Amino acid sequence: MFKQIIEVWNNVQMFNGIWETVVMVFVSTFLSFLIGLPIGILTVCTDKGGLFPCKVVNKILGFIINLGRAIPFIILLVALIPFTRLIIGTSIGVRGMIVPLTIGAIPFVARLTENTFREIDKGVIEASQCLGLNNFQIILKVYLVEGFPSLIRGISLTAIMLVGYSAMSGSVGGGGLGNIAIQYGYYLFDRTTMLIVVVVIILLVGIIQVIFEILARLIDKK
Amino acid sequence: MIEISHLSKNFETKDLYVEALKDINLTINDGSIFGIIGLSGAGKSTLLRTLVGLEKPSDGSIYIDDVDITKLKGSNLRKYRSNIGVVFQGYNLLMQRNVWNNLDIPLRVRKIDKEERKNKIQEIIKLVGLEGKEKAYPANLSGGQKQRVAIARALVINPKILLLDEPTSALDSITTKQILKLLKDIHELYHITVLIITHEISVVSSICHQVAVINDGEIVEKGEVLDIFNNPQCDVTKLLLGKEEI
Repeated sequence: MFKQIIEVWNNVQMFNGIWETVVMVFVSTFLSFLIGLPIGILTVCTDKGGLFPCKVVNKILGFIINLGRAIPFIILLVALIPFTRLIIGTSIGVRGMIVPLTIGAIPFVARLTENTFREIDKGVIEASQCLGLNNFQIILKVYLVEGFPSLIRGISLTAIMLVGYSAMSGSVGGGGLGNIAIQYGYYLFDRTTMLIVVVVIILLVGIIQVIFEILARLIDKK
Repeated sequence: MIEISHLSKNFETKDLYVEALKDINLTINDGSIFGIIGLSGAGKSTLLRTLVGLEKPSDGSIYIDDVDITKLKGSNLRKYRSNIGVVFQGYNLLMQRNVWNNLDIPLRVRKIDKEERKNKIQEIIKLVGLEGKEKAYPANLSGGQKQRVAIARALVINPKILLLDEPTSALDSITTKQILKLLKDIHELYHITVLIITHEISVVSSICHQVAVINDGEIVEKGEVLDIFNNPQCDVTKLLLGKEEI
């Protein structure tokens, strides 16, 4: 049995698949935080009772986040193909998947950031204002620092979600483990390969979870 | 001198209209320890929030050294706030930073150089009796210690006025005495104006010079602590003093 697993493993280039999935997840998690985090911060700050309330901006951002979260990823994946071709040059493989994965995760990250910052005691923000911190300093030194452990856990949630999304992308020509599962498991009815891919994905998710949980616990002083 | 005149604050929501403060007039002299006492919901905290510019009054003014602070905004408000130290109910410390860094933040944002910051923090930590706790995080401190950090944080910027919102309400009787002693020491050392908001008569009787009794958004009685306590006029004052049954 062991021999069979190794055979399949080599045959489908499992290491390559894992590597591709890791790259896709890593890059798109990074990019989605790069864009989603500021959107989340802006949403909290423009909300009623926030640092700089602005109803119009807040409503627009809220609408975009809700809209983004309402679109099923598999549909977003297909709908974004022309856009991805335009900016990356291809809509398949690892590179072609970065765009839909990032865009799919941005609303999630924004909402996550929003919730994280809302959990911070309002009294702490007011105290910081009284201590002479301006809005920019409050975002940088209070929101981001006090919310950091939660954000670390948020990165883990996002990455795990993107493992799932990246697997879905196998259906439209994305690379990685999803591609292997579609090619061998779906088109060739190769149950063994399918099973191995499933186990590998579960392990991958488990590893992400453990690493970030340890990290968050080390950082959190609360 | 703090001069509060005709101050009122209304909160309006769809189906609720609350007059939290009604025509408050108060004069607090420089260097005094002034107590504002009242039952919960009397408007004490709203008054404090208005004093630090967290809440804009519906009407009236608060003059501090000839500036109406209720009109201040942005950087002017921050400049005014650098003269007041506030100790909030519930401490409001930064949980992810240790004691030293909690005290360092207000100094850092004022761009004070490293050596001066270090000296000031050491001085204040010694004053409030937190030596050896510099590296501790708030989550690992007791209530009394957290209150000491909060007081230290308010003092580190050399304020002219120290405002305290229910500084002892969450503390046991012995810790309360220690904190009140500390406030007395601070007052003697720096000669700053101290304004304490409380519902505990013992706080007022043990350290305040003057007192104002607030009830239902109105100041019902004010004057020297001894005068008021020996000869209370209003029912609320009598109630707070325990001279009248509920």
